[in-house]
Amino acid sequence: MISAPYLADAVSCGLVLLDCQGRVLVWNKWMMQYSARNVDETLGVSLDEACGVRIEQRIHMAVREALDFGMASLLSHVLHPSPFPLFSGGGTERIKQSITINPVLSNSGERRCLIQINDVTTMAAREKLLREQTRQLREEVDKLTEMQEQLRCNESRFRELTRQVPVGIFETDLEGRIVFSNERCQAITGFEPEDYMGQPWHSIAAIEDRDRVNVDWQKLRNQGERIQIEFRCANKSSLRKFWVSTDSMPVRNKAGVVTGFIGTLTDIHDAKEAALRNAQQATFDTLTGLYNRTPFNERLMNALSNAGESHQFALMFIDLDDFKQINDKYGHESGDIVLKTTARRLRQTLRADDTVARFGGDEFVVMLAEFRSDKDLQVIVSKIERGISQPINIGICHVHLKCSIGTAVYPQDGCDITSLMRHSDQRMYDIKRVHHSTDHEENVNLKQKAKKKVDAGALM
Amino acid sequence: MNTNIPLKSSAESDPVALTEFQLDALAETFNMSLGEAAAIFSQIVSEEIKLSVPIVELLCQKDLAARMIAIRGNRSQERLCGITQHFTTKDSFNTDTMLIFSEHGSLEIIRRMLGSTANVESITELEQDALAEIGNIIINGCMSTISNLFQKPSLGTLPRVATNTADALFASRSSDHVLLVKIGMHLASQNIDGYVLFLMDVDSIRHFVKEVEQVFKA
Repeated sequence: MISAPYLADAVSCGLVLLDCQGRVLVWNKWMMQYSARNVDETLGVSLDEACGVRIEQRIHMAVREALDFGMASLLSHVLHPSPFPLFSGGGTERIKQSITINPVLSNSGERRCLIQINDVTTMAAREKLLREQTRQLREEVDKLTEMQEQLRCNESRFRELTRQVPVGIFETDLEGRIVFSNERCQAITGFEPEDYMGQPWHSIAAIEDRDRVNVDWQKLRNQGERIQIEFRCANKSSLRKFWVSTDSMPVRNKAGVVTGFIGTLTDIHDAKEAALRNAQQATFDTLTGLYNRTPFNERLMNALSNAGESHQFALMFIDLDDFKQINDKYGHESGDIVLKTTARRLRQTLRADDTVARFGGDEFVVMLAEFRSDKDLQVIVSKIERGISQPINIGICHVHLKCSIGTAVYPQDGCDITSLMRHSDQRMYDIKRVHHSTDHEENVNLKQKAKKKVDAGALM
Repeated sequence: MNTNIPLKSSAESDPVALTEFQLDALAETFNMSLGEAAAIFSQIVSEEIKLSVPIVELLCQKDLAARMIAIRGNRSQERLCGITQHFTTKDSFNTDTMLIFSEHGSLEIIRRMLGSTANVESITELEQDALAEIGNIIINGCMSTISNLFQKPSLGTLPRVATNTADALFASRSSDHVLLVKIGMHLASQNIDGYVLFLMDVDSIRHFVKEVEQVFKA
């Protein structure tokens, strides 16, 4: 027995002392508490008997090393979590143990073995938690690293794509300030990145289109509506204006919140110019700039469908008298000057609401939007006749022309295009015939007067 | 067998001089004891361990760190992990028996013990105990064999683990001489080398050598 057994009971760990035969000499209070085995059951018996179960072979081997060779051993919790059947507070699960086995010599020089058992349950639980947290942290870091790699791949893919695509691509912040643009953008606009980086994207629009573009941009910015818009851009280097189209939409984050805008920029200049030219030709007479037949008829049709019962408007057919002679005598260039001048004078004479068209040759048509009475109509006709009859300078000389104007009034003369046209056309021809006959009479009169003068002269 | 005699025989200046027979006998002793230790280690890690031929050297304490660095060559900058136990053999020798691994090697051993999921960079305190136990088993295996050969019981203490640079690890030794036994314990799958040192004072070395002579004369 040890000299001061109360010391063994005072320590807060398990102490077991074995004699050289491996029999229990000391089984301290702590051991009694945790093993629920009393002194009678433990003293003087083997370790297995004292525990009531067979314990791990490793313990027996370490005990033997201590008793036979004086070797001390440490048994780690990690490799041997719970070799002894020890329980805390009536629990059914063994406590986690850290064990040291030391050889000791008795006063008489007999080799003995001291087993010391520490409860590391709390520490083990804490370390398990720590390890779990470390593992989670590592997993998160791994995931993050993987995501970063993915992001890097996406970024480089995106850069390469934007470099390769044949359209301009730009990205802006919430205020529309350009934060990214690809090389194609620079090629289209002729700007260097430093010229527009940080500038509102719509500032690349030419001054005449800027308001229109701004209206669409506000729609995009305030309502998040995708916009497709064509506008003119002023090229920095040449100051040439050219057409581009942009298709812009908002960029949203995961929560759906708009974080900026992305847009494409396409050079549509040639196509747009051709389209504009075609549209112009389809609508307007290239020589005079007046409407041609189709749009005039559309407007007439429109006027007919909108006309109320009390409303009246007039259609005029205007034909230049003896225009053919100008062409024959002075050439087509002179004829063209006459036609252009006539068109200009017609527009000057008429109001903005009235519609003037050239149907071909020297045939002009006018739709008077509104007039109050036949007298008013007659005043307008007279104004036109007077305007056209002013001398026209064709370079070689001034020519004087008259015109024949036939009118038809809605609704008295008809309620459809065909009857209105027929009436005005017919009246125009009637008037032309009168002009011809008048001219003929005047000619006859002039010839007669001239003959009289000649006769008189001859008489003198 | 490769042996060195680093200290010249000189009655005044050198209290320890070893004959070739003594060195051979020492080498044989360590060959047996460390062979035993390696076999135990091999069981622990479930892998065959190749042992290199032991190299026995006698050094001054102050030269130990430099010598370890020289032995380890291009890995000399790595920190070392030492597991030490003190042994007292009554009326004979005292020794601090020290098992040395590189720090990485020691962590790798723990990793193998705990399973491959454990991260060697985050070893907890209790897990560090596992390394102490492994060193303990190896050193006990070695010292038991020596004790049996000499037929003299030794009393051993519990292992202590310390990780540091070679200089710091050997700085606070009280023994003035060291019996350096370099034996490579090499795991095929991991590049882990271990060394065993016996740190003894001159008196202990004399006793130790005497015991060895006794064994091999018989």
